[in-house]
Amino acid sequence: MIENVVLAGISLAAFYFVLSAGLSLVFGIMGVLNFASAGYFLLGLYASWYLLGHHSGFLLAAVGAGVLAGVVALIVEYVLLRPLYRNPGGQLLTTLGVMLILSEAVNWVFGPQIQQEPMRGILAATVPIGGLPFPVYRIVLIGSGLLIYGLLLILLRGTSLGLRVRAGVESQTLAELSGIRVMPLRSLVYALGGVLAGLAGALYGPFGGVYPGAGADTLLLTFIVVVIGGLGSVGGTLVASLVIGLAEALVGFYAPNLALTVNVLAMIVVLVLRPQGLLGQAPGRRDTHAA
Amino acid sequence: MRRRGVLVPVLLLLSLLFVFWPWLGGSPYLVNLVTGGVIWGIFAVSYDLVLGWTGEISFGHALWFGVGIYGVALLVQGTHWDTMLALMVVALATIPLAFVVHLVSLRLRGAYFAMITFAVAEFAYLLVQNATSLTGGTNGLTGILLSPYLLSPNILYALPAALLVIVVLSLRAVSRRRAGRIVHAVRDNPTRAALFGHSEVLVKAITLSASSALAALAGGLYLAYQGMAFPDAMGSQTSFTVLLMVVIGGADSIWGPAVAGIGLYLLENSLTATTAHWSLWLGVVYVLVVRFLPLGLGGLHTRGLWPWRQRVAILQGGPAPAADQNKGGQA
Repeated sequence: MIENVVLAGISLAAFYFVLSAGLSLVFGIMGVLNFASAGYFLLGLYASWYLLGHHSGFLLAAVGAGVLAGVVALIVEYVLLRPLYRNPGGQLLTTLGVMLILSEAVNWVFGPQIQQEPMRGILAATVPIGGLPFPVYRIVLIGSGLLIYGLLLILLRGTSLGLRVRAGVESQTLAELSGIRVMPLRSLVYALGGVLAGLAGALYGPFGGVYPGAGADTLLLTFIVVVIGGLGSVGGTLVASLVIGLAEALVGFYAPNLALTVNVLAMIVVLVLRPQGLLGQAPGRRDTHAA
Repeated sequence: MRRRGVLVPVLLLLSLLFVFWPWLGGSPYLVNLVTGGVIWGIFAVSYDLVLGWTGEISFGHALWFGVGIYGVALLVQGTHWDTMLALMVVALATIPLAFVVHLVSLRLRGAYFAMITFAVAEFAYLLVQNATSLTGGTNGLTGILLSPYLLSPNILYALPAALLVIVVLSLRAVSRRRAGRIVHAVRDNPTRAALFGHSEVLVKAITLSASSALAALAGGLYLAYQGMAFPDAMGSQTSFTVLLMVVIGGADSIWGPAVAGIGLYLLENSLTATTAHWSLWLGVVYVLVVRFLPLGLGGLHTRGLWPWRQRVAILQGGPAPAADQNKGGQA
């Protein structure tokens, strides 16, 4: 029984990680709280649903979702965010607008109803764990989360590009003084954030459902995860995803109505007492390239 | 001085006309529609105090709207007081509550302030949704005994209209006097204002409390207008809507948000019949305004029509978690 709940919590955590890692990185390098991420998530959700309904496998659908969301994010960064580079408030307001536009556009094209995600073969099956049937898809979810964490780790720790990105997150001024051109890095990381949000959308469909409100429904949880993990820290996001995923599964198991409330309360407490997050840098060490 | 001599009677006449036009012959349907717009206008002006006066971005202003709605609903239900009396009591009680909440929230700035306002508002929203025995949960509170004079559409219109006129005129007056200049000084250069003895946190907390009380007034009037209370009125969508109104209207002016609040509400409620995608167009207009007219439509009036005059950023919203991180050249 309990191992079922814990596994469900870990699979939720894997989803939250994919959903939030991009948001955290984007904040780290651009200083933008990217509301639009919820819009890219929605694009990915509907793109994968559409592809799955048109004879595509799950992997192809997920890749398609990530690519579409990434391309849209790249355009948004280039056309809307870059001109507001010295106006962080304007950037924040713009990302909110992009989220509203994308969710309305999805609502317009596909309608407000909940769509059925067509799951086939092994992904629709269950295996018995702890005497209860457990969906195979949730195990796939855990695997996807680990895979994406691994890939991010290789990208950030194992490549020179990752080194430059980490330098930019650490201190934009110092990175520029060392000859790193930060502007293209910002576009790249922003697009990567879009890709990750799109992938999260593809992962969400089979267990969360396909509907236009999905972006808004997961937005708050993303914020909770990145705040608790510390904005800009991928490792922190992983830990926070686990905490929040398990808390949601366990609290939700005993008191379903309280799960989200407890998590929001945790977010408020962390924001007030430790705004840099549990694993984030101390505020004194952060770069001050604000307004 | 001569211009001023004309301005005062003209403003007075226009205000009287604005408040009393239903008696000059407006259809009850139209009066009722405009009432909703005027209440949103008050709400928008209250948010202008946040965005325009403190320069902080809040994603949780609907919280204070909700405090007004549920505060008045519960007070009227429990005590059978006159609705307007209950409204005053709730608005006054909101001031200390909001002051404490903002003292804590103002430990953070920029994007972090935006997030904590969002989180606190969502927390309150979830509480209202789950406290079924008190608030009725998602079923809301219906059948609230409002004072009988509120059944007249003209009076129901004139009360918020008069409040809006008083608020806009007094905020205009305040912004030109010492208190208003201090608030704007703190927004534009907190370090320098602090050197003159004006604590950033205190000044902003006071401004935000006034804003919250005004939002609660708008919420209470909205309850009188709707006759019932639902949790969605204090959800994040409400916060986003009022933010869009103020950005489009122009956070740097006072009448801009008021006009945008009324206008966008009227447009939404008359256009949803013709175009189902009102929110999409609103979002597009909003993004374009942020990009090309950061001071909104009001900025066209205060700064002139030249595009380069519009390029003034008054907003926070950056990455630093606390205030002392955010002062680039000062420290």
